[in-house]
Amino acid sequence: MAENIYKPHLAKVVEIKAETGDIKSYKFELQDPEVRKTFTWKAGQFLILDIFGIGETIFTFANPQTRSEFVECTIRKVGRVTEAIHELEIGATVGLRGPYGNWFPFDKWQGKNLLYIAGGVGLAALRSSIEFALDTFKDFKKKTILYGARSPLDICYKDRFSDWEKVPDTEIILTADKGADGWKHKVGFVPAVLKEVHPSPADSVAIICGPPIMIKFVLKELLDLGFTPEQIVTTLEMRMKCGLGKCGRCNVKHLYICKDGPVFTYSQLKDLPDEY
Amino acid sequence: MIIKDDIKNLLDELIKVKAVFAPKKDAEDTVLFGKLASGAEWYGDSLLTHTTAKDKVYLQSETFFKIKKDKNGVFLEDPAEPAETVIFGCRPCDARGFDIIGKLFNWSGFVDEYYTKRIQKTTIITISCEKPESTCFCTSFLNGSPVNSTGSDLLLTPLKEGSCLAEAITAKGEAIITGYSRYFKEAGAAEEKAKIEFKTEAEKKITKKLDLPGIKQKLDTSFDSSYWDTAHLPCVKCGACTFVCPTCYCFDITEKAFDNINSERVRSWDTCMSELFTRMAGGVNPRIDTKKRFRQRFMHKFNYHVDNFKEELCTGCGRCIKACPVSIDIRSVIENV
Amino acid sequence: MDKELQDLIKKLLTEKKVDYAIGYEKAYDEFSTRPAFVTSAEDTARLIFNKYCINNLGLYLTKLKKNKIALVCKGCDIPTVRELVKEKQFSRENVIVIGAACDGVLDKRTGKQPEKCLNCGVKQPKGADFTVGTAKDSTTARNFNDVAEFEKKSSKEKMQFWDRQFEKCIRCYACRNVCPVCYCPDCFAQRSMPEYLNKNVDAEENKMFHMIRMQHVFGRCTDCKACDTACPVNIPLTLLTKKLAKDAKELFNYESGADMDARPPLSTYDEDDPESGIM
Repeated sequence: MAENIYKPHLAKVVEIKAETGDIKSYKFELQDPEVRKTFTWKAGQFLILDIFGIGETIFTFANPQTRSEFVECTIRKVGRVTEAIHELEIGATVGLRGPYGNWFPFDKWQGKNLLYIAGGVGLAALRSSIEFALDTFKDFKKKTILYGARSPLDICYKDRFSDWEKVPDTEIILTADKGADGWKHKVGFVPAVLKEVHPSPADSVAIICGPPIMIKFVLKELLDLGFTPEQIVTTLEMRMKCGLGKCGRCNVKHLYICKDGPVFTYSQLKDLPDEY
Repeated sequence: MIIKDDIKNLLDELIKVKAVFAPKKDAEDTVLFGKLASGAEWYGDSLLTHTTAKDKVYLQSETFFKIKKDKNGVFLEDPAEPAETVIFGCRPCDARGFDIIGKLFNWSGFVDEYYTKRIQKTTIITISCEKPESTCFCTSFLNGSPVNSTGSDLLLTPLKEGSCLAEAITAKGEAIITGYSRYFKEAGAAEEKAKIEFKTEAEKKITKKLDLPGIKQKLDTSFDSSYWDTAHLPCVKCGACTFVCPTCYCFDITEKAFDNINSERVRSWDTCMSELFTRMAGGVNPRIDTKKRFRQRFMHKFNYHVDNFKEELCTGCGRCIKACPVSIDIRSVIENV
Repeated sequence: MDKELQDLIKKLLTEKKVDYAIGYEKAYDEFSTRPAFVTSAEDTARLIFNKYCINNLGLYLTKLKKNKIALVCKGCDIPTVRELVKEKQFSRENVIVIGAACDGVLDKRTGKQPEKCLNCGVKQPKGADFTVGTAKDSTTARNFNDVAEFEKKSSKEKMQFWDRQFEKCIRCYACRNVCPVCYCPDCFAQRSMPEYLNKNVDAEENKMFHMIRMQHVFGRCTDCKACDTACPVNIPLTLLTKKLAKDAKELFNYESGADMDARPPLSTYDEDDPESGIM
C-alpha cells in the first residue's frame, strides 16, 4: 500500500532559539530512525509542520541538506498555529511532512557569482540556499549577501554572520531602514543600497526574498543594472494547505506555488498577472 | 437490457449488500442523493438533483486520521476502510465529474489514497438524459453528451416500452450484470439502433453550445480586462456554486479538537469564493477584493485547468446556475468576456 | 411598467443624480431574473420588473457604501433599506428608492408564491422616493400562525426536525451572504483566533452556525426571505426568520424596518424588558 501522503512523520523539538521579538528558530529531530536516514531535501523546498490539536502550516527548510542532522525552521508568530508553536517546549512532539516544492537550481549556477538580496524575515527563506552555497563554496565564485531590515533589532541570524564571512570570497552588506545607537553598518532601504553597491550582472545570479514592496523595487534596480530575467530568482509565498498541488488554493494562473515553485525565475513570473 | 420495473428489485438486492445512494425526494421538494432503505425510495423522475453525488466519494468532511496526544506520546489512528457503495441514477455529467476529479487526485506525483480507495469501492450506475433542463450545456464539451459514458461503470439508456439498454463500461459494470443476471436480458441490434436515435434526439434538444476553445483564448488575454469590474457586481461570493458543482475540488485541511488529548485531522470542501481562501497568517490576502475571487473561479475552470489537464473543469450540468441565489449564468459570464 | 422604470432610471443617470442603478434583468430563462447594475442611460434597456424578481436588492447597499445608488425595491425590500440606514451602514441621501408595485413573486425553485406574498400589505410600496406601477395590497393581514403551529410541537420533535434539516446543510453560506444585515467583514463563522466554528461539516456544527446567525440577526432581520430562497438544499429558514419576527413583535413590540425612529431591541435597554427571549 502506498504511503499516505497526508500523514506526517513524528518529530521532537530539540532546540529553541529566540532570534528577534516575534521570531524563533526551532530544531526538530525525526523520531523514527528509518525516516531519519531517508528524509532528505534540497535548499528551497518547504515542509508542513503539524501541531497536533491545532493545525498545520508551511515553512521553508531553514537549513540546507549539507547540515541535515536536524530539521530547522525559523518561525514568526502571526496566527493561531504559529502562536501554538511559540508555546512549545523542548521535547514536545510535532508532525512533519515533506519535502515539497522545487529547489534552487544550483547545478545551473556552477562557477557563477551569487548575489543574495533579502529583507526582514525573508532571510530565513534564503538561509538554506546561502548556507548550501557557503558549504560548497568551491563551486561558485563571489558570494554577496545584501540584507536589510526595518531596524537593527529586526536583523535575523546576527550570530551566524561572522561564520558566513569566514568562507572565502564572501561579503555581507547589512543595512537598516532606520539606524540606532551602535549600528555600524549602512542605513537605507535595500533597493537604494543595491544601487550603491552596483553589482555587475556578468556571470551572476541574483536571488531575492523579502516583502513584496522590496522585491518590486529591487527587481527594477536589477533590470536597470543589466540583469536578464533568467538571472533573477525568487521564492514566492501564497497561502498553501496541502503542499501537493491538490487543494487548489496556491495558484498564480496555472502555476501552483507548491508544485511548480516556490522557486521561480523572473522570466517565468514576468508574464504572470499581478495577483500576488 | 433491463425492464424499468425490475430496477426497483435490482436496487432492493443491491441494498442488501452495499450502501446504495440514489436521488431521493425530501420533504421540501428537494431531490438529493440519499441512502436508500428500499428500491421504492428512488425518485427517478427528476432530471437533475440539487446537489451532486460527489460527496459520496469525495466526502465533504473526511477524517484523515485520529490523533491521541498523551504523556506517552502522540498516536495516529487510521480511519476505517470505506464500505462498498453504489451510486445509482446519476447523470452523465455527474459521472464525468468523477473522472475529472480522479485525474487531479492522482496528479503531480502524489496519489490521494482517500479518494482512490473510495472510488475503487464505488460502482456508478448512470442514467442517460432524455431531455435537458434550460441550464444544461454538456454538449459544449469534447465528447460531452446526455448519453456519455465517461466515469460510469454501467450506463442505462431509457428506451421505449419501459425498458432500458444497459451497457457495461467497466468490469464493475459487468459484475452488476452478471451478478444480477436475472434482471438483464440480451439486447440486440434493434436496441442499439434505438439508443443511437435516443442520443441524436437528446443532443438536439440542447440548443446552447459554447465555443470553449475560443473562450479559452479570450480568457488568456483578459486577466486585466475591465469586464470583471462589472461582471462580479451581482455575485454575493457565497460559494453555493462551488458546493453543488460535480468538478469543484478545492479543499482545506483543519483540525477538529475534542479536548487536549483527542483530535482529528479533517479535510473539508473549501471555496475559492470565500475571503479566507487565500488569506495568509498575519492578514495579507492577495484576493481580498471580491472581483479577484470572481475572476479566479472562471479562470480556473476554463483556462488554468485546461493548461494543466487539457480539459475544462466543468461538465455542463448547470447546477451552479440553478443554485446561485442571484441567478448568475456561467455561460453568459464566459461568453461575454 | 418596464418602460416607465427604464425611463425613470435613464433620467436619474443622465442627470448624474446616481452612480449606479440597481434593478433586475432577465437571467437564463423566462422564470428567472438577476440583479442588474446599470451605469449608463443606454444600458437601461435590459431592466425589467416581473413576478420572478425575487432578490432583495437592498443587500447591495452594504457593498457599494460610498456610491450614490438608485435602487429598485419591492414593498418588502424597503424595510431593509430603512434598517440599514438606521444601522448607519448607508446614508439616506445616497440612495433613491424606486418602489416597484408587485403582485407577489414566484420562487424559481417551486414556481409558487412564498407565503409572505399571500398576506402582503405593501404590494403597493410605501415610503419610496418614486413609485412605478400600481398593485392592490392583500386583504388578509400578516400572521404568525405557521410559527405558532410549529411551536406547539414537543421539544423532541422540534429538535428532530431541525437536526434532519441541518444534516442537509452544506455550509455554503449562501444564506449569510445574501442577508442584507449580515455585513460583518469578519464573520464569527470564519474566525480562527478563537475558533468558534469548526470547519468540519456535520449536523452539529451546522446547527451551531444557523442558531448563532439567527441570534445575531434578531431584531434586525426584516423577514425578507432572501436566505430561505437562496438555500440550495431548501432548508426552511423561513420558519426561523418568522419566529424571530414574532418574538420581536411580541416581546419588544418591534417590527424591523417599519419605523425609522424605533431603536432595535438588542441595542436598547429597558428595565422591564421581558427576559423570556434570552433565557
